[in-house]
Amino acid sequence: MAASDGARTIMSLPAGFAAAIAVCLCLGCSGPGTMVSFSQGRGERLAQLLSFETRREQSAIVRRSTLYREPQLEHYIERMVACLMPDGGVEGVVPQVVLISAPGQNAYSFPDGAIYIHTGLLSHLESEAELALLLAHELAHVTRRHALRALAAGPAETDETIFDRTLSDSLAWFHELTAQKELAQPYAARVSLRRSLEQEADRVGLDMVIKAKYDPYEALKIFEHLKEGNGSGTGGKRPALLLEALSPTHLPAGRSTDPTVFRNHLQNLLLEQGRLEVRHGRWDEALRCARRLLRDSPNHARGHFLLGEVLRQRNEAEEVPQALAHYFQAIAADPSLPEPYKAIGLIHLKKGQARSARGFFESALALAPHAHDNDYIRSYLTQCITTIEGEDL
Amino acid sequence: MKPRFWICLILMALLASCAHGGGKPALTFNAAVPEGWKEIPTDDAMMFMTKEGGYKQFVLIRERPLSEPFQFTKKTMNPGMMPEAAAEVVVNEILADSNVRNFSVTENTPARIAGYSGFRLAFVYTDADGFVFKTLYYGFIKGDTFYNIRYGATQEDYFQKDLKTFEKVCDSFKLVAAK
Repeated sequence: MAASDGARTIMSLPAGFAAAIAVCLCLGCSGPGTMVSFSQGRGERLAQLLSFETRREQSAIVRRSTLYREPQLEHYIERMVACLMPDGGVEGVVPQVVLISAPGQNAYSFPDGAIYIHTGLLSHLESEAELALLLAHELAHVTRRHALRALAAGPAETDETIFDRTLSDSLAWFHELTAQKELAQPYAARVSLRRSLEQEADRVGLDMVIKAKYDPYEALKIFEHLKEGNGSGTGGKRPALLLEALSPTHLPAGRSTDPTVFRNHLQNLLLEQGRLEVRHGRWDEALRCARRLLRDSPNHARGHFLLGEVLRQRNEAEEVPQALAHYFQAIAADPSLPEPYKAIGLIHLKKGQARSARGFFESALALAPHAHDNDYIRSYLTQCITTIEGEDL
Repeated sequence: MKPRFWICLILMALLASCAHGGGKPALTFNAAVPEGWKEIPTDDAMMFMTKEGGYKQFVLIRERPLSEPFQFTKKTMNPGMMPEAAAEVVVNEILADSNVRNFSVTENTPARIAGYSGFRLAFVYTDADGFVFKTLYYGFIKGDTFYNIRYGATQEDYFQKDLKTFEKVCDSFKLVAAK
């Protein structure tokens, strides 16, 4: 679901396909819903090219990415995809959702039905209906064969070109081919085709959402939430166009979507995303994840600890009392969690309160005698004891 | 940043410095270059030394102002930061590098370097070309500067072979007034 209107991509294609589609937009820009015509032989060759590129890109993604694995969430999403897919399926398409642990709002699909969604994007969604629209948009790209249409829209490649390149096993051939096409096509045409494909995916996707009995108005809130997340908007015209297209007969939605079910499914993801954002030093995003988690689950011990960590590690002196409060809430929610004890100890140690710090470090060690950071905790304890002995002399 | 690419950059910096003679900032540390090793001159505030080439083994000693941002993580170091927190920034920087795969910290402990409280990290990772690197990394903060001493080698046998040499380099490391 690449955003149109030059807005930041909310669900963009990876470089290879982006290039292919952007390139191939040009010649055959025929507008939403219109199939680009090409001979059967050429279609088969292009499908072969796409199949090759799909496998290559997917291998590259697996190599360079960290997959987010959570069986319950994956199963939940699989069931949603099954509801959204057209009856009878689509030949050659096996929908499969892969979650990538990464910041940023990104999702993309491949012609074989694989849909890749970054956890950074998922963490912004507020309801199952929004997730349904995201999935349906990507499925629409797949079922309407947008990659193939975009590729076919470019100038015809010769049989020799394709044959030589597929035989050569060179990883560069596809990009060379698409780059050549790109050069042959004007920018405006590429943008026009991309926009038309996105609009079609929006429209077809929304139809899928309605057929699956989700509330389309709730689903369309995804644009607001992603806009909040990326600050630059996701193309204000897109939701407006879709809202205009909705007829009053679409209401009401038949599917009951208890928001707490969706929120429960997202809890672990929000925690992991928050930790990931902390590693990247993206404090605002980390704060958002932690606060969202605690909004949905106010007694989440690790959520309180995460929020405390963000506030402490941001190194803003005025936030230390808030950090402490969240550490204590984490302990109240789960007294067996060692990390908050250590964090409180560190705050006291930094303030020069060795006596207070000592007890917290001892608690952390007692709760997790074999933790990987115990050498550090022991060194802090030694500092505390040295300071206390100095004070007692 | 891709580690091998990074090594290339260092080597290029060396060539550049050979070509126009300098501009290297005065270092506030020194360390002995082991016998049989050579120091590769660079324009940056670092010492880069190797015996058989940077792709086989290297020792890199670097000082960086705390104000200098890291490339991948937006986390920063600050004066008075605990060694453990500084180690975490280093680990986060490597974790956030998309060219690094299979990154695994095998040791993260407090350490003393030239009398200063710091940390010792040991980690392994695979670079984008599939080469497995093993690294020992010491670091500490003094004032507004983060000092780090690292030893990296591509293969286990290379790593083990020069481990003691690296420890000797560490023992010889000391801070000096900038000249």
